[in-house]
Amino acid sequence: MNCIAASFSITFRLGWEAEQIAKKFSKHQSNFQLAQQVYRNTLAVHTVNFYLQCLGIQTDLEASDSWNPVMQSLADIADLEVKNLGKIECRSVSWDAESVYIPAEAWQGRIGYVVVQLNETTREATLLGFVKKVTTEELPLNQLRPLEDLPDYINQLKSQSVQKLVKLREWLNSAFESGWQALEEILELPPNKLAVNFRGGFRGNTKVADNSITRGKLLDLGWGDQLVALCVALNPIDESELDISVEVCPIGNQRYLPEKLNLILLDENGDPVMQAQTRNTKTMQLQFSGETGERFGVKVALGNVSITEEFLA
Amino acid sequence: MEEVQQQLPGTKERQLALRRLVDEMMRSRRICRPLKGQSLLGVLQEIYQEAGEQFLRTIDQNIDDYSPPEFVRNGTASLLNRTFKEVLDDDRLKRLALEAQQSPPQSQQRQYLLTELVNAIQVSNRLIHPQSNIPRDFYELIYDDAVNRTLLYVFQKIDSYDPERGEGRLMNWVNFRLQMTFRDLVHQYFKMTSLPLEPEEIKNTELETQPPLLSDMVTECIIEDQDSLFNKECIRNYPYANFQHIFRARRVDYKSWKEISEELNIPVTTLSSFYGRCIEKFAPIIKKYVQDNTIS
Repeated sequence: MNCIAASFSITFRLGWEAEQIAKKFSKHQSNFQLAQQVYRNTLAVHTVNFYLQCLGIQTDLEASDSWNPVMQSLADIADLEVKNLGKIECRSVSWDAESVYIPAEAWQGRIGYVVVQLNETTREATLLGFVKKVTTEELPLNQLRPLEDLPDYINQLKSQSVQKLVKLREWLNSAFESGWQALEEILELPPNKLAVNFRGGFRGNTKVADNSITRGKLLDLGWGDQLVALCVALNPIDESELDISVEVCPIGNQRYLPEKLNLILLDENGDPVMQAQTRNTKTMQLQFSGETGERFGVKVALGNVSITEEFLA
Repeated sequence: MEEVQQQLPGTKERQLALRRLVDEMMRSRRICRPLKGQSLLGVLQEIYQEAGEQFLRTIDQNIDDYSPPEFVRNGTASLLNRTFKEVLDDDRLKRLALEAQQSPPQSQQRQYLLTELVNAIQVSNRLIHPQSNIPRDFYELIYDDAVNRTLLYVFQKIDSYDPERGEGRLMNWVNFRLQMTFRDLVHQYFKMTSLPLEPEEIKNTELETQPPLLSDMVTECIIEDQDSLFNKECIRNYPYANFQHIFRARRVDYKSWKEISEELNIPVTTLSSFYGRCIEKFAPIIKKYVQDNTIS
């Protein structure tokens, strides 16, 4: 008998929707073993997603690798994307298991791991517990943290991510977060050429106003070979509003930005409100104004890689 | 358990052993579990007490007829469920729902109580089974799906349960929702499968037109490696530790990371994080290959 059973857990049935999707995905696999793997991974992810929905935690199934048939063919993958936070790995065990198998591919890039006990005879799935980190392939089930701590853990992560917010109002007091450097350093350009980079300016000016605050940050969209600079210029309108200009520029000797680079402005829910894409362009810019206290994100994406910086106006 | 059977009925030793046995068996219950470091309160405590007493009585009466290993393996779970089922009347479920309503929204307390409520509703076996004329295999699946969605509704909309309305029974509120949800799903089911086909029939029509499977195309793409991308992408200074090789080892030959690590003399973490970066990088290229080669 499983000694975990006395602790807090929740059980759901494996219904039609779960079955449909799990079957659909597993049918892409020609090998029976891998088909089973995909089938079980899908059920596990589906169940955890369902529970998080119950708790009101937003997820993004479509953005999860486990929901992508090509990725399913490439690795033993059971991730669930939690909006704006990261991925939770959902590993399944059978009803009599005493440990859970977690493949090495999943040891990194996860905010946590939830174990789902699948009982295919009774067609039920039980969430047993979770852990934050994993460094071995076999994790004994008695080392799981209680499931009731999961929502708190996720909320903790949420508030931690708030601390990574770039607080733009503080820039007016010359308080800059680390990583945000003066433009001449980052673009390796002499100061007089800088103004040209910010076209359009603010409120109809063609140049960035002299009292604008500017800073830039290097973003790596590849493996050290796709560096661009994300530049931000601020001009305070008054106590409650800031004029903001965000621009992506190539650095150093590069004259052009990579093709199909996307620059997206996100609102506080992570939904896009403005977008630009490169096509043989030298720079790309978005201009908008932000009210004091407003949160927004700026996402720079190239192919599969994207980096999002979160700001507080 | 044998210990209990050995004792004479009516003796204090037997009662003690019986209590110990019952406590141990109750550990595999699915509801009335306290949060770590806390004790059961309110209606959950009451349910646990009563179920415990009833379970004790049942075991006491029948224990001499049981053969221990067999009973422990098969009998405990069903006996527990039956006991809890009797104790979980609508009044207790209703009170549990009210406790959940009264706890602050988004608090751990509320989530805990709602989870217990959802588990209790299932254990109580008071969910209705709506009539329908869909094939039995599909009925089970659709019914389970409808139950899940109804439980989700309980979680998210517990505040809309009004104990003052009508008879105020909790299960009326839940079952009404279940009925509606089930009907909607049956509609969707009929729309999706315009003729109610038997599961076997569906399988046969798929076999007739057999396009290449996606996983085979992925394998083909990587093994053929037309642009020599996959065998060139390797861990620095280890040309054999390239993406194509590792893919083949993991997904075609089913080698473990440990085996591959020993073969290439590279630590598992280095290999797996390299592989992880590769699949993120190459996924769009492979996806395009699959799309280009899929006859649509």
